[in-house]
Amino acid sequence: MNTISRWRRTGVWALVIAMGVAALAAIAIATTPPGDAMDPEGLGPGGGAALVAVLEQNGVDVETFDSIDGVRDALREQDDDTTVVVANTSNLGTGSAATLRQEALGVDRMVVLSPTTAQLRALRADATALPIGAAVQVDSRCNIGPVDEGDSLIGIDKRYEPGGGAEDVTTCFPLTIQSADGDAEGEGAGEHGAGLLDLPSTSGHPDLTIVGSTAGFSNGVITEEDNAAIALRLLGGSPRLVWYQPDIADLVDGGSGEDAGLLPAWLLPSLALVAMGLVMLALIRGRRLGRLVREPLPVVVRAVETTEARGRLYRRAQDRPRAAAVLRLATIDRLRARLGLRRGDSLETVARAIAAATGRPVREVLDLVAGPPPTDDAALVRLAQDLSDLEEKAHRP
Amino acid sequence: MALTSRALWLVLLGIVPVVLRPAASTVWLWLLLCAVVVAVDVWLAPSPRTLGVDRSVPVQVRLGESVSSALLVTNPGRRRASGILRDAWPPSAGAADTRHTLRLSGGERTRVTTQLTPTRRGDRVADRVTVRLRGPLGVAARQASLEVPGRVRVLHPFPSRQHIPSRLAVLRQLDGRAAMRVRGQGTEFDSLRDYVEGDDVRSIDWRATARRRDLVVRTWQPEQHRRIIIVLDTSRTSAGRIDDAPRLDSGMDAALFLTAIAGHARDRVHVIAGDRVVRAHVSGHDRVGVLHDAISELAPVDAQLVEADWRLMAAEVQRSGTQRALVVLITPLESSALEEGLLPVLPALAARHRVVIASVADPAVDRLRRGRGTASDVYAAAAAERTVALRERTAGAFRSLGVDVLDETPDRLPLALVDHYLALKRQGLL
Repeated sequence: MNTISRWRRTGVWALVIAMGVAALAAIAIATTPPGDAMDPEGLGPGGGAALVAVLEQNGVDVETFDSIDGVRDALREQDDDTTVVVANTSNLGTGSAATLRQEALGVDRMVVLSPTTAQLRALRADATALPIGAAVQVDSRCNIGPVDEGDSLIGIDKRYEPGGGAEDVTTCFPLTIQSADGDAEGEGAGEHGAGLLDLPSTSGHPDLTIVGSTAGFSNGVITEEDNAAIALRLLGGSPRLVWYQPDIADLVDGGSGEDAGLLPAWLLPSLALVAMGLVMLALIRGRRLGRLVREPLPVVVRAVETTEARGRLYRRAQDRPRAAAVLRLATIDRLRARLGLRRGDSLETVARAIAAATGRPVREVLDLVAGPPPTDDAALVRLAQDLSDLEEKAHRP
Repeated sequence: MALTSRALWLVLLGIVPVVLRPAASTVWLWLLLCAVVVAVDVWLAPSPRTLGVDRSVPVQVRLGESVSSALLVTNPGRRRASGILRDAWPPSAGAADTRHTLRLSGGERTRVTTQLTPTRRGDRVADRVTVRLRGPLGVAARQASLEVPGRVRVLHPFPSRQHIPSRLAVLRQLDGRAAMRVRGQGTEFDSLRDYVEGDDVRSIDWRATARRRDLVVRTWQPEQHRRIIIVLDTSRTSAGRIDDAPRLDSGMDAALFLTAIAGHARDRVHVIAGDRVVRAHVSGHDRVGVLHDAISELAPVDAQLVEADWRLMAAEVQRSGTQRALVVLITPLESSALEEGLLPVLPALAARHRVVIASVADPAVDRLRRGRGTASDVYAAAAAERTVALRERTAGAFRSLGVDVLDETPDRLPLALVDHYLALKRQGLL
């Protein structure tokens, strides 16, 4: 019975653990890590291998890099007749973005998919990124080179609002909120950013196209609507395509300098001084005024310990016959001395004397001092109490 | 070397230049400046080793009383010496405040005292004296620990000394002023005096009465110049504690009380303490001296976790004289230890001397014996009865050899022992 329930309990726990492991595995398989989306070699639904393959079929020379150093070398080698694409900006640090901007000044076009506002600032693009919260399908409503009027792009999940200083910015795929009666004139209605910004080249950056879609050009979605056409026209404009897929190292690389300006310059040196002060405080408090003094300790043993241990031993062994015999013997010895009997006198003589002194029947006394040993603890306690009663009576009849 | 809190504030003051010139080099320069200031201050501080430190401490103190250990500190140099001094003592010396502020100009001398209230009997040895002297800037200090030997002997509190006057009164009654009926080995004729009512008629000296035509009684001095040998067992059984005091301390109390009374009765007292080796042996003719020596010699004796070697103790008793003596063995009545160790040597000892065994009984056993409440109480009561029975058996074995056995609680034992001694003296059995 016990064994079965234990097995059952073990089984339940094993099942729970197995289910947990299975769920974790399913999550790991089903989700693509953010750094792997639009991987140029990725064959899954989130990868970008389809787009790369089609571009290469059409004679575009696609070079892929995963570090800003590789991109810099490639662009220093040749930067005309080249398009640069950052298809996944989740690992693009602001330092890397600034470097990319500097090195890519001479390229034909730079395409960045769903950058954040900080990344845009590092790219010297005057625009603000705002989330949408869902991937939507929007019509282009513009006509620039790669995007025609009437093109429809699915998978837009970020919108961009150009800043006040930016001129000649073309906004495509505008996001409009329509009022209740369906036309675009109602309160709160109107344009709320766009899914694609096209910024003409300035002294700060080359021709820059910002697309607010992380997954619109991935293997799984690119065949829908006009996504493939837009992607090929955006990226296939030059014979050479530098595909920059930043890895995690580029997130922190060279990011300093921009944020440090927010803190006062004296803070870090002061903190160093305070740290030094803490070390000194430890030294000051830790310096002992002379060594510790040894105390030779005495032996501490309670004299009654052996007796208590013997009592516990009796109890542990449930040795009622012995305990009862010891108690009876002690009572008899004391009463014998009290009643003036000799050591050699028989038990019967003693019992008779006790009976005479206490006024109890001889049989009862004899049963008390020489009866059978008690069978349980309650009987032992009763016997002990009876014996002490007997003694008391003999002392004060 | 030691730093002070001023050094900390000096380092933190560096925030001012750092704010004015925020750079890492400022930090390094400031720390360098601090290091230089500390180094200069240490260099300028007087060396603690040049101070002259002398200790004067009383030789001994009774447990429970306070004593002050004084240090005389002299600054022989010309520089001002200021800082702290720590007079380190072990915790059981009960030093109240061991840290003292020093402020000595050149050539000055001062006395610092540490109050000691020891918490345990025995020798308390002073540890090192540590001196920390600040530099003139107070940023850093030099520190050194100096060996200044000192020792206080903490004596047994001897609580039963309060009973000395009452027992001396008893002793005086035994003395010549009372007419002695019994003559023992050592009783000596003292004097003749007029009969007063209440005197024993048997002590009337008829010959003298006939001469004087008045009733005259003979008086006898009680026995004098008898030898009392007190043997104190310091083995493992004496280490057991009764109400937080070792049995040895109670036994010592009894031994000291007997020494005091027997000294007044002009008996010669030996006190021997030992287990496998003799740890103390006090004897002498001068009664005040013997008591004083016994208190002092027994103070550092502690119970050891070894079995007593009674053969050795018996040999020590025999060596202190062949004359018949009262031998008092102060040892706990632990049946197993005594039956194997003491019983074999006791017959020879008892044949030569009058032997008394004084044992410290544990009132806790008596309390356990009365337990009747629960089953575990009754088992404990049975165990206590067993302990008592075993002690009785051992005591019976000793009594059958003609040895007197006293088994009393710690507060009763000294009185019981001295009363027994006085009873023996009264009966002339010494």
